[in-house]
Amino acid sequence: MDVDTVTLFFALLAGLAAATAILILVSAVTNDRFGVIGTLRPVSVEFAAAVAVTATFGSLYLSEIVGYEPCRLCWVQRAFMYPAAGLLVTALMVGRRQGRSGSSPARTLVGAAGLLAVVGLPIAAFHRYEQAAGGIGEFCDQDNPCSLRWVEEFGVVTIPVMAGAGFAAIIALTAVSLTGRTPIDDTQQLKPKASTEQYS
Amino acid sequence: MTQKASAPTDSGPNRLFLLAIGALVVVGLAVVAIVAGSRGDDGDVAAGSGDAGSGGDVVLDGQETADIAVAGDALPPLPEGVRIADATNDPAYGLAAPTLSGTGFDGGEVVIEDDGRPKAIYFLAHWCPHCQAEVPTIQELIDEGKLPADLDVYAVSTAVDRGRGNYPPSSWLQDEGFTPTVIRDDDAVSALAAYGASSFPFAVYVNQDNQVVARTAGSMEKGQLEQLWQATATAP
Repeated sequence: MDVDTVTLFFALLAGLAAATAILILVSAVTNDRFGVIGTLRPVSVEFAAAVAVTATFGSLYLSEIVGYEPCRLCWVQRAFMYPAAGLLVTALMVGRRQGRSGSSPARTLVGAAGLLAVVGLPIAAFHRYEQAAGGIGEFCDQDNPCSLRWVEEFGVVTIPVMAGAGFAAIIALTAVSLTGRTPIDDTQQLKPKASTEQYS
Repeated sequence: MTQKASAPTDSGPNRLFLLAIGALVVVGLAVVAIVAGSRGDDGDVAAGSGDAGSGGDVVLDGQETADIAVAGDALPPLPEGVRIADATNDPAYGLAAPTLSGTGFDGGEVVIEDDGRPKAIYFLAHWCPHCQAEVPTIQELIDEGKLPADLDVYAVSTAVDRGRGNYPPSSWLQDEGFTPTVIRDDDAVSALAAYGASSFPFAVYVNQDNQVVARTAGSMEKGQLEQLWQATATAP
């Protein structure tokens, strides 16, 4: 499979990620009228982990196999995407070990990943701005400018756009996961209530 | 909201069904990319055959660097921080450009020498993003007929590094449809050193008497390139 095909695939995945984020946002605004959030919630962490892991290995493919040298802003985005992937995969493993993906430690990990994505998204947006503005930009050196568009699909989807779509999807999916109440949470909340009644 | 949220819980079948749907969508996108990618390849082939009519594909000899002979005194280095050096700030201004004798990517002999014609000589590194940006700009100007009839454009493929991006340079320049004559620098970057390069892309402009009239470091805008070409072609 040649590089053009792979980058086109990445661009399509980015479109899917962006569409997911927008769908969740619209559903949240409309009070989940069509049940999208409720439908996605059981697999929201899995999907978020898939997005982060795909973004991680996608960026490594572009830099280590294709040879696109990451600029400084690319590295900053990696600093937020890679740990997010690790946290989300760990959250899945912790959740599975405890029998439920909505366990408290897993929720903490999911929340941390969501926060990383919240920081990563504006950096990706700034990188895209640097690309649109052209020139070398203040953040990058002359030999490896942030403004360079190694990939450009559909005239607009560059690497930071892909990263931004990934961050947006992770934010939306982790929010869906965290705003839901799972059976284990209900159980944990019931226990202290029961014991309080016992002592009163 | 809470009731709606807790309805589809972590139940196995529902969860697996959703994961399967997600996987199917991703596989579908992969198929779309492969189909679209293969169609794109067909387009490239057609474009390539079009190019062949206007000059033919170069048969590469597989070597990215080659021996190169440098004759004449080396030019002094371009002062640090200077992007466009001319009569006012270039210690090489008016000095004779060294003669380069070597080969192109097809193994054919290439000589850049005092032949009574003004020249623009570009030193390009395959891994340098600015070089990657400048090559299409140069070609665009040539395709638009902006190259003065009295000016010859040469490129020196230099600083080749197998471990860095966009390797090999021969494929890169061929893919770009780069038509100027290209000469290969050697592993010791002898040509680059002889012309006093400071960064990439580095360009040297030489008048009809083989004297340096300008040197530039870093990429130039299209308009700047055109101006430099015009000035070099008519330089005394």
